[in-house]
Amino acid sequence: MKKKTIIILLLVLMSIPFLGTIHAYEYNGIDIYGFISQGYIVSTDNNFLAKTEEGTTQFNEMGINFSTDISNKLRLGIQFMARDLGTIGNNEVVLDWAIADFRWRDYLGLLVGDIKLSHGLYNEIRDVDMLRTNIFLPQSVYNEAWREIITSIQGGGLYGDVSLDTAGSISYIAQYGTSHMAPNKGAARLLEDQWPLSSIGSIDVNQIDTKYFYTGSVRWDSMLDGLVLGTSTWGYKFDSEADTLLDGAYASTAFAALGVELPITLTTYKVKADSCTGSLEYTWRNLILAAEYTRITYNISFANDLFTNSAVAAQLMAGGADLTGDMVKVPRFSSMGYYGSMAYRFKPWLEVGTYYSVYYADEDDKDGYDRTHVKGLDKVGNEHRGWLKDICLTLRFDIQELWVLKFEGHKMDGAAIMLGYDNPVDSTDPNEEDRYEEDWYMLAAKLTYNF
Amino acid sequence: MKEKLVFLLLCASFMGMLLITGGIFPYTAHASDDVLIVCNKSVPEDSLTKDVIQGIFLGEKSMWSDGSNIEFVMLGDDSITRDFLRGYVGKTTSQFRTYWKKKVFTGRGKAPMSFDTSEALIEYIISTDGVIGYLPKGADNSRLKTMTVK
Repeated sequence: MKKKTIIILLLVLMSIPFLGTIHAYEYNGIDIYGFISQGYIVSTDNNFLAKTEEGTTQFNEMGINFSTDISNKLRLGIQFMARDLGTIGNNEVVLDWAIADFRWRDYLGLLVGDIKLSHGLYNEIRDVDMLRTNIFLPQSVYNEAWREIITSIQGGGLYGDVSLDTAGSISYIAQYGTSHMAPNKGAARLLEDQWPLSSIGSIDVNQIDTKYFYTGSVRWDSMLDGLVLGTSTWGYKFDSEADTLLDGAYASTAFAALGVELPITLTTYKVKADSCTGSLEYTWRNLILAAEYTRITYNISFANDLFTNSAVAAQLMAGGADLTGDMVKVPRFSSMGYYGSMAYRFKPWLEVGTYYSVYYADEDDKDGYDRTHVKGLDKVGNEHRGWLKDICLTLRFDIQELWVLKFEGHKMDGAAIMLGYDNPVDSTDPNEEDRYEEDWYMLAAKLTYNF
Repeated sequence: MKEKLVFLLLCASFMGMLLITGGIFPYTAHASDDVLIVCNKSVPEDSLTKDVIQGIFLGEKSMWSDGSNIEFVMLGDDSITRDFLRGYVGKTTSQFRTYWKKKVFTGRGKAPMSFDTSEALIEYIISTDGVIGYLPKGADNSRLKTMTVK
């Protein structure tokens, strides 16, 4: 199915009168819902996942879903989606989710198929702009570059709701399967950015093989009206192969000094990541307060003939790597992020939201010193790639029930999360001193129609 | 540190705006007393707690005590729906709509049916087993089971 097909279908459906409180079209017992969003992003410095310094309209999403009840307990549904954010998505139509949902009892149901991944308070609604106040969810917990891999999980899951009477209720979900990962998408781009010697060379991931993906989430709607506490976890393991490109002037010099001949061979990676998130949300009438904390621990190992070179091996060991097996084990590290947010609906047509979000690429290197100071070499790169602190203010206008318009401003401190792919090396500055600005601003606008 | 101060300033401005606009105290007492909870006569329960009603309308409770299926329906009328949601579900109309749209767009639920008039809603409840809905006090509920709310 092509993007044009989805757009035509959406336009046809938009022209038909709709029914019900939460609008849908119904055809022979099949409910049809859809949305289409178009946005614009511009930043003063740094390209945030697209060519934002120039301003870009490569920022859109559209989706359409079909669902039906086969029986009182069994429901089937499918959603197709296309999105574009710089080089991510490129409006290629993909299967967003496809679910068979068998609800045996309230406390136990079974999901199979391509299921939305439950993580934190808002991960499931990442694709659908009108379901949230902000255009960009806080990047400390909902990293946009990760979206494609933690949006859905292919496999199965168990879920349920358990009433605790006066103590509120608990909802849970546990899922297991694999995830969508492709060499030209966000996860690969992140790996390319975060590979252990990223400051002196680059890699180009050309294959990813996901071994497993799991997730679990528990949410307690407490006895205090509006107060929700939750915790969730996800983890995955994948193997990949990457072309290793240590061909820059700096790398040539540095590796020549170590007796390495360039170019070098393919690098094999094994990556395992596990996350845990704590969530708190309080809704009081039209006011919603939320806070979340997340930590992702990475175990990365890699192999390359390069590391049989004793001088390079010595460098790696000096940096803390374990070279005792076939694979070089990078010391385990964890990223960490948290945010606090507030949103208030002043009028049925006006909601205002703000958040403060903090992300550290390595919680043990918050000032970015270690990442830019490889032992025995001069400082390389920008320390502020180690963090991203973001103050956001959003105005949301519900123009009418089906149309939403948002304007959003971000004051950024730091340059983590962004991808090297969008911020290429300046050939006149081999040390990359000016590759990323530390203090910068970003503005976004987005218009969404849904039915 | 500078960012934290700016964020705190934003939050303080936010709270100031709420106070100035009266946004933080815009409501009188919940108007749930103006709403009747009504069901099809096949429903085995005679009374429900507010927590159970909330669970039903949030899709967390889908079966009556005899194992039969629960279906809940909505009234299109803005004021009675607003009072019902505020009094029994703990959400504003916009929050409730967003909640169900989330279910719909993640494949985890079907949006509730909605009726433009009390008469249409009453006819649907009468003719369909297991259905629960709400009506303004004073509506003709003689052919329905009216729930006592504990």
